[in-house]
Amino acid sequence: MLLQTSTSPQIQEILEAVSSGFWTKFDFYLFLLLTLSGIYLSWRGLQYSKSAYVEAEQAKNAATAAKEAANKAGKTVKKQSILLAISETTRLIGQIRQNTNYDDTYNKLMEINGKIRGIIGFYRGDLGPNHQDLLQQIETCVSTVMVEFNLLDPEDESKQIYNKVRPNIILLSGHLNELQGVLENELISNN
Amino acid sequence: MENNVIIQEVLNQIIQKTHEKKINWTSVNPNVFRWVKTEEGAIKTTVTLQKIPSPAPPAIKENYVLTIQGGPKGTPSTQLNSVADQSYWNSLRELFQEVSNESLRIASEKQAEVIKNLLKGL
Repeated sequence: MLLQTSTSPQIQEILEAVSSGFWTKFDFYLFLLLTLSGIYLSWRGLQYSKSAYVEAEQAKNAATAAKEAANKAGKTVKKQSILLAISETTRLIGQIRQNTNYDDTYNKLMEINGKIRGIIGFYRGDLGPNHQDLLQQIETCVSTVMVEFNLLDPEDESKQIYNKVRPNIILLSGHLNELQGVLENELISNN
Repeated sequence: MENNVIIQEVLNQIIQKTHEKKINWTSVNPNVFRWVKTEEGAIKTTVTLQKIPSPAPPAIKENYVLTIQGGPKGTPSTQLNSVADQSYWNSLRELFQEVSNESLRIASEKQAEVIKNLLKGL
């Protein structure tokens, strides 16, 4: 009572506003409506986000699967190309016969060397560690056959040329057949 | 003195002698040069220097092999191979470049001689 009598009209108004129930005010319902709308919209947003995330995840999985399938198809084509190169190289090796001459053998060895370099360069990254030795053996064999051939003279007889290169080209042919087997096995197991 | 050091010294001397045009290297093919050393008209030693292309990527270095045979078609007496011993790679490479340059110079001289002879007698 003492407070009511001694306060100014502004304080009186505040006291009246505080003493009446807040639920009786229009503002309360307006803000309540806005808050509930906000919560609802947030919830809907969350649902959309979840749905978008799931769809994005599915799209990512589908893209990964497509990429893996493309990689697998690419590797299959790559292996088939290498098998073709091996077959051509083996054919070239078979063409070096007893009646060969220096120039012909030199040209064929250079062609074989180029093809082997292509095969190894193309395939080294895809070959498992168990078979890396095989590539090393092929490299060594090609180098040895070139070194041995280069010790010959262009005037040397066919038989002498053939006898010089024969042991190493036979060995090379064997290694290439082994690599061919490895590739064919991989192709079978991938299909 | 270690054998390796002796061999390196001899290789350096061969490079020097090649530079001084005292060794008659002949080209067998673009990657092979041969020096036939004769004594009293008879072939005593055949030296073959060759460059072997690098086997395959990722190896980027080519390899060099120097083979010494005790006669025109004798079996190799000895062989320095940069694959087996990388310490010879620099010397053998330098020797190969020197021999290649010398071979190019001789080819160029021969070419000039042939062209010069075209005008002879005119």
